[in-house]
Amino acid sequence: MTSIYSYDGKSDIGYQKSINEDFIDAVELDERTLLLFVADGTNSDPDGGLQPASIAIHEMGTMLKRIFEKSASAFLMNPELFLTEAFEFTNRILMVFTAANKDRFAGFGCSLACCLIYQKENQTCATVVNAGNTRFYLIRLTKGTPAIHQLTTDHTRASDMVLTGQISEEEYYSHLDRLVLTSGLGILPEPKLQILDNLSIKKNDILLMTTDGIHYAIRPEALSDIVLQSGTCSDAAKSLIEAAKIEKYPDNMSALIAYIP
Amino acid sequence: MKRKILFYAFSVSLLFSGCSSKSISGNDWLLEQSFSYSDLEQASLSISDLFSLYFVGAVDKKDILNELELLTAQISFSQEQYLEGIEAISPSSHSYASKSGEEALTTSYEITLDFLDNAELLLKAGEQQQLMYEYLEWRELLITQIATYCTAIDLVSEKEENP
Repeated sequence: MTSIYSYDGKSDIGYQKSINEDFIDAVELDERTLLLFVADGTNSDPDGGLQPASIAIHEMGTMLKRIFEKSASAFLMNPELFLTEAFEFTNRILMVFTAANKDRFAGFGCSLACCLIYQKENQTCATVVNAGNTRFYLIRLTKGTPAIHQLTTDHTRASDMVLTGQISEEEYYSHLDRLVLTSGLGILPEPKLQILDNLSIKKNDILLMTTDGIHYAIRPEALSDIVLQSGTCSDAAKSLIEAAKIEKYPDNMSALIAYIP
Repeated sequence: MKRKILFYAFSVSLLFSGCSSKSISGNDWLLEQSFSYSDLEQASLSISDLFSLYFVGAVDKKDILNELELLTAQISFSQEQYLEGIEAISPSSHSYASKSGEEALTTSYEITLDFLDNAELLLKAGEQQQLMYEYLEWRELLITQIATYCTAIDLVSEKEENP
């Protein structure tokens, strides 16, 4: 099975971190249906090596693949419903760790962005669900000029401050509360989810998913330039990580790129 | 319900307007395009009303996205019928006026559908300022195309009356 979409990604330990708590994955449900995941974990278990980002993506991928295999048509008729269910199910799993051992698994959670790319009536569509401060961008050529659109909003305390006008967009990137999550998996019993349902995707669109090690280090326009100057999705992911490293941003760095031919 | 009835009436009108299989001259074809023109006029009025209400906060994001989806389906259907109709024009029968009228209508469909596509993206991304700019730009472009179409109709009608 070969996907009709081009995609690739890379995750890197980055600067100053002793372990990489980011995790990325792609699951080809069939040639025309692709699931992409980007997650950024917090408070991974230092002894056992249990990582919330890895657990979350594994659980989500397994659950959604099983549903798709049972009934692809039902899944694609209402993808946001199944994606939301998978997020809530995964959230409960992560919360069980903390409930079972508060000392060992305090704060065991992750930010997670999931994007499903599929075909609907001969049109490429995407449904995206996000919790936490992982991001989903779309790069589209409009009237001959590429433009990057950030379609997710960070679930952080500083993001709420931007919305209420307490701080500016520019101040956001240096504000400490940009790291204080107001949603995510394993953090709240009922996490706030951002759902972008049935987004029309055009030919030559580029979808970009990142963790904060990338998007807090590099501004959106620069992200777009780096991706567009790269020949392949793989090169784009590598270049983004190299650029974030140059900025010496002290976090793990992950990027996943999909191109719609 | 009212919207559904309107959509069906709209669809039936298009079926009749787009069904002609005989070959036709460019001038005659242009004079028969009142259905396409009125569809575009209707759609542009709906889009303008919708965005005016959205910009003053009387319509929320979810509602405008639903309305835009419906409008996109209607205009795409109208465009499909319109493009089928173009195929009936006899080769080399276009006058300068009929050709410019055809190009204006074709472009009007394209820019309207492009605008609706971009509007969906900008609404979802929360890029309000860019959305406003794109809306104004689309209106300006559409007005130019409609003016070209109306001039073409006048020229062709004049020629038909005074051959």
